[in-house]
Amino acid sequence: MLRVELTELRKRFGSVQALDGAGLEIAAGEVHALLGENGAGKTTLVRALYGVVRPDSGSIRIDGELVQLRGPRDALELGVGLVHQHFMLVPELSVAENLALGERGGLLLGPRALRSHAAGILERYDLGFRPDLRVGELSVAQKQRLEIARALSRGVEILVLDEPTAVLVPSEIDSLLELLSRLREQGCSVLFISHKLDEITAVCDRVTVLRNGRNVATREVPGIELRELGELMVGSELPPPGQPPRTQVGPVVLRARGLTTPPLVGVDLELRAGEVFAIAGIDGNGQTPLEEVLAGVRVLESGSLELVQPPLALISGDRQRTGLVLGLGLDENLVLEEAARGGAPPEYRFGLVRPRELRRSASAAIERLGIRAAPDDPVRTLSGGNQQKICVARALRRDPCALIAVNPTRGLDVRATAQVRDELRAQAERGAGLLLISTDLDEVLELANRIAVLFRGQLYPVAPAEHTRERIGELMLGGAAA
Amino acid sequence: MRRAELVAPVAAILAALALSALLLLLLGANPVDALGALVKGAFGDRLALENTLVRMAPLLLIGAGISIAFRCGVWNIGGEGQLYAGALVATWVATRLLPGAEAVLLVPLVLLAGAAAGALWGGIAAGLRVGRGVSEVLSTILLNFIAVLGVAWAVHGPLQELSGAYPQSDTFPAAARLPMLPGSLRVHAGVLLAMVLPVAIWILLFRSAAGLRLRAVGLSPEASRYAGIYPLRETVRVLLISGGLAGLAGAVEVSGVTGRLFENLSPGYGFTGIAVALLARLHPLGVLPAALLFAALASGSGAMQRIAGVPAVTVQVIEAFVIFFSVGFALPRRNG
Amino acid sequence: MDLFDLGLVFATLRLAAPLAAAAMGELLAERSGVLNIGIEGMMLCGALAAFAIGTATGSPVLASLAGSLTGVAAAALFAVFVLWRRADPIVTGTALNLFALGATGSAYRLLYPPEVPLSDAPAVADWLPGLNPFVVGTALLVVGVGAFLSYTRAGLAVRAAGERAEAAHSQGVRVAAARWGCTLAGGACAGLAGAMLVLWISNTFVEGMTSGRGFVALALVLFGGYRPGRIVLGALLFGAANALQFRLQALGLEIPYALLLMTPYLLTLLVLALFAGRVRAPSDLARPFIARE
Repeated sequence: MLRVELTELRKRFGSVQALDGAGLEIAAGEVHALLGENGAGKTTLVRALYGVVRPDSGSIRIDGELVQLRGPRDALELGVGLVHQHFMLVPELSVAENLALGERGGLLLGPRALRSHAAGILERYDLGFRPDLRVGELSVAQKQRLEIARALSRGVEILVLDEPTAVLVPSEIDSLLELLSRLREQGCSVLFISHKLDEITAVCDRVTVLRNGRNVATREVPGIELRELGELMVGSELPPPGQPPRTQVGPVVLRARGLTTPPLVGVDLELRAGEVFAIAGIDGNGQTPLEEVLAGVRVLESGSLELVQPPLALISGDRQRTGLVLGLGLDENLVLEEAARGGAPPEYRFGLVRPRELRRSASAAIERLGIRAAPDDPVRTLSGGNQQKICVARALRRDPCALIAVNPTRGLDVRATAQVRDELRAQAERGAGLLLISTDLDEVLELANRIAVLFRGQLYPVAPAEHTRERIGELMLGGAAA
Repeated sequence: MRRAELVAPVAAILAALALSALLLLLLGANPVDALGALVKGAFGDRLALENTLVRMAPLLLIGAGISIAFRCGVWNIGGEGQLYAGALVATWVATRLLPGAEAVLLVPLVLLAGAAAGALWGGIAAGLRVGRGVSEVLSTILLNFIAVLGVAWAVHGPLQELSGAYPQSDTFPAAARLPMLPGSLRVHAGVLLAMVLPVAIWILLFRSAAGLRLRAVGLSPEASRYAGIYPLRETVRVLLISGGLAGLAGAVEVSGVTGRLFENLSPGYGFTGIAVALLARLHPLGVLPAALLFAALASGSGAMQRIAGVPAVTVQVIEAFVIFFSVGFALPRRNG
Repeated sequence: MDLFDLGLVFATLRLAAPLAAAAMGELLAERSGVLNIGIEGMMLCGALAAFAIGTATGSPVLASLAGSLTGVAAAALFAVFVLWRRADPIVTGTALNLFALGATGSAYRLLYPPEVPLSDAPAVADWLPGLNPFVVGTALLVVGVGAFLSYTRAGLAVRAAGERAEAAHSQGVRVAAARWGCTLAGGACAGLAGAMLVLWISNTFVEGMTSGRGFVALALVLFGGYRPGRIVLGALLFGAANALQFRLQALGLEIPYALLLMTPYLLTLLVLALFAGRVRAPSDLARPFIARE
């Protein structure tokens, strides 16, 4: 019997087609895995099943019935529960309060009723913490258990887990997997998003692979190979179009020693002039904290970062939030970094702008990178590709010796992608050191002279002989840590 | 300002006018007569016009200051208190500290003292924000009350006229008064200054590197931090600037208009300044027409009360309508 | 007259009760995630309505009810912009305060032209010395708000909506409804506080008579760390300081009047400087929540 049938779901966010006809079937008592690269549409798909995202088209059937989900309320009513990657618990409230939140029942909710209700659930699901503990004080694994228990206590029979193991240590993963098989025995259906083959083979019955918002394949798990899954996930039809830059590798320009700030643990790295050093890995393994450290907006617990050869420039991984000031024009975004901390860009004299100079610089950047915009258009109105080119143009303005680029082509079309990569390659050929932090394996393989994989906050160097899609795909899924 | 940006303020004014007309009807007045009286009272004759211009000066200064503060995401609601602080210290300089000085020296000193006092008053809020994490919204509001009462205390005490007859300061010496513009009875040089300063603020905000930092912080504190800007430092700066402008407005008021300090010096210029800035969509040049509109409302309201029998405070309701509608039509947006 | 006697206690209660009631209104709104800067204006609207209905009917009960309902109406105006149009709460609250000042001023002058002799609002008399119905009412309100937040299912939903709107929504809590409800209920509390000023303290209406009490209430919520009991304690401290200040005045001490009037604001500022940085506000305070993508 099929509990869940998702068919031909489509959803567009602005210029991004997050779901492009994706679908999925889950049988009763099945643990079904969902696999895909970052941006493949996994999270959007499960949020549609939970009523948080309203698909543009397509149908959702639960137990054979066509349903319209107006919100999580409806989904819960139908027995669908979602355990989010970033938990949907209120850390300021107690365990008992979180368990009672959203439950229907009498008007009053005294401390005793609250506690006994919670104690019942905690006992039933074998959770050994006190009901009056603040949820913020729980460990990550405990929070996850609590959220699962809360869903089950509400009669959820179709449990969706969005990358539940990404935040756990190995022993915790084992007990989560055990819990999932127990749930299957009790007749629950589970949809399990994971990137790690060992987890998938340990517990799942079938796996569905998503790529670019479409499903690529659904396979029976027994007997499946890591290599095959990796290929399905990243695709292998396109050969890398470009080549890594061929340059003379020079002295060290940027050196990090033992960078530690959760979840980074003792990350060492050296970036040399004239090379492209790529850090591959699946999102959530420490990329954002690493970027924040390099941008100078995050305090380190320990370790040091030394810029041997200034200037340093950063192309932020989130152009809309941290890369650009969306309300400002292209021209002003271009000079913002140099105007910070009392500095003066060359387009300014005595602290005042020389409008003609500014327009000339902006026009030059527009022309060089083929940006379709006027110099003073607010960047909010531009497409993602044009926004990204502005970030690149800004970073290159001062001929940086150390250049850091985080997912520089995420969300860009083929043309813009090629253009941005050419610009980056040219920087390395000019003699800059390029640190490429990217979750896009194609990009890493195309640009990098040297590769390391970031997995659970640690860097695993990849020997040049292992610069293959299969090997790195394996490492990204935890191949080196196992 | 682009043409598209003019749509929202005009729509706000029209919507506010429509609602005000409705209100006037409810009050039993003929809206056409009442508004006619208001326009006549504001622009009908030379005296009315001069009166309007004089009332425009503080609104220009405070409105320009609020624009720059709100653009930086700093909610300075303390224009009124900063105005009173400026008026108080300006009066002290003019009547107690240097009453005998020459005009070339004294007028600038009086104005500077006022601006400095206003900046200090804004600076207290900045210090509380940076040092103690106190939201500037509440601190500037409370500082309004304190400054107004401070003036009340001063004119009953240390700054009271030497004759001791009324709770007001001595008259300013002639050398401390802003000169009248040639050929006018009431329009003082401060009006001119107040019309020039928004232009200077516009240059600061839109033509300087410092202004770029301020706007960036207001639009996206996150992206600004990534670019290397310290948002708190900019917060302090704008509180000093907008406080200074409001303090200057206070000094201009005592030196150019009243010639002495007394309680209730300001008919709420500090708050109307917020309406001015919002209607101007936080654009320092847009402050010029917006301030003219509100000055006309204020100076015409007396005539409206006399001729059409509509209470002058109704103008405050119209003001509030304008703010509501300006807010409803969305201000410059932040990232995300 | 002594400096300290029972009268001072009564005066303290009288000065504290409106603050406590208004602060409960602010507390409700903020706990649900709505920063309500317009409390002052809502009080003022409530005060005028209480005066108008009180003088017309002579019934303090009807007058109090009118005050509360007018507070609700003003809060609804605020909520339309903040919750529906997602306008900035600070700007909107400031606009509401200006609006209230203007609207009550014009309405008052219109309703009571200077040539007509003005009657007093009906006074709410003490049941026993010091035991005014409003004291009891405020106490009940505080206990009620505290109990609502801590011991009811809806109160839990409200707290969750203010702390993590998204998490609350994902568990089926109706965040928008919680915020609307608390904002309107907060308006009722503020309106009631305004009615107290008229029916208990001054027996008349004066333009701008709230004179910043709404802002003091805002500060008290911070002082009390969002807990009703501590907020009341803060209100009592304020009331006591103010009562003492009036007493000093009455005893003819040579302290300038204006400086004495300044004390509540200075005190509030001091309280903020000491406590504001340490208080943890609801995490999603003043953040708009959009339920669907």
